[in-house]
Amino acid sequence: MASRVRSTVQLVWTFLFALPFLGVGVGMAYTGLRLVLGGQGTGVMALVFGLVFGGAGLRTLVQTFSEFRSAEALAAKGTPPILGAGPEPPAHVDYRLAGHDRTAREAYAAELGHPAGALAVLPTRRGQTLAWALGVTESLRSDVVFSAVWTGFTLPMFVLVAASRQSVAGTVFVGLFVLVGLFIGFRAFRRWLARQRLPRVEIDAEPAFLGSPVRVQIVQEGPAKVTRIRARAFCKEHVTFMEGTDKRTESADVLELPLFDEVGVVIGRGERWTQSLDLQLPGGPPSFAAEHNRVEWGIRVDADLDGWPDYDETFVFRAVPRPGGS
Amino acid sequence: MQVELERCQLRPGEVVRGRVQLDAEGARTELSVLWETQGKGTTDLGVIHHRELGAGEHPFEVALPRLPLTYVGTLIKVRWLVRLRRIATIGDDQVVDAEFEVAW
Repeated sequence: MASRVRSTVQLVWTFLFALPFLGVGVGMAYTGLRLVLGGQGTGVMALVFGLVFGGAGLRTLVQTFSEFRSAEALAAKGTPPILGAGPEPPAHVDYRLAGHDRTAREAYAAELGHPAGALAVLPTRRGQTLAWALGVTESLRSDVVFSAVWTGFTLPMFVLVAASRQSVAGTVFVGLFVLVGLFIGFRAFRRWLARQRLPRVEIDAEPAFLGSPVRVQIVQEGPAKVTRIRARAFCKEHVTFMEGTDKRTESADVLELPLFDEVGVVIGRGERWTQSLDLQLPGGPPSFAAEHNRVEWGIRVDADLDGWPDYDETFVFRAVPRPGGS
Repeated sequence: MQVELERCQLRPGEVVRGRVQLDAEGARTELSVLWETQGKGTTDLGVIHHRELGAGEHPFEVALPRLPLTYVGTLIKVRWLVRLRRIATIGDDQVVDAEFEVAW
């Protein structure tokens, strides 16, 4: 049994920081409003600044007061009660539930994620050969948006500086910023292009049961000249944390199980190259997904393709204890 | 204030039982059954039961979910706790944790 205390110094400082913002903001907004009502247009700026300052102060104050509630009370807010463990699903859990579009295995997975959300929700995608098609979960959207916004800001500046012909050094300096945006955009485009040749990765059971075999099938469609293609199952820990104002991520391997490593695979147009194998999962650990901490199971496939961008992507699945234990 | 657990090793889906003894009147005290991550990442918290208590002895029993299990990894630890928090109006809260293991 452990005992510890929580500091409130930060809470007090935040409160003291927010009050002047609120005071100055309200004062400016009031003055601005009076000027506007008196027919003086210059009051608009004071009104806008006052509302922004006051709003920032008010928001911080509300946040400060909400932090007076304990972390447990905040986390418990909206948590539904446990409805009871319910009957254990039978050993064969892939039968379709009467009146439902989902199998007992899917219902079991939904129940495992209840009530505190410790299991990720994956999109349901039926496979062509096996029951489940796994997809890549990492999105390229953030890179594309960043590149578009960055380039949208820096490119017009570059054009203006270059057109003025006043400073070569200044033009080069702004040009470097433009290149950063273009590089990130190009990298995202290349990865998107590589994903057009991704193999189909399917498994026969999702979530998979720890301690049980799971059938895996990887299908690469032609035409493709594959210099090398590798696949392995993995379990990894991922964490995110703040370092100053930066958000950092770190990962650690829990285990890696090689599936295959092939070289010199030539697939003709309309042909398929298929690898089917049984993967024996170990007894643990189960998949775990919280906001800043994850234990993730997946299959990582990477390939060197002749005349096409290489890919290296992970296909995530969930591994959980069998009904009745693992 | 103190927490006593009937058992410290439980299986997923079982019921955690125990009793809480609170001696002080007045201060607001919260009882929570929760899992908490520890390690390099920012702490995550999953509260499955939460209520406020008055002074005296309070038995409790809470059904556990099937996940998460207690876990000790490289970057992440998942711990299950019964937590008592006495809310301080000024100063620091007093927190007492009773840890239990959830495993097959």
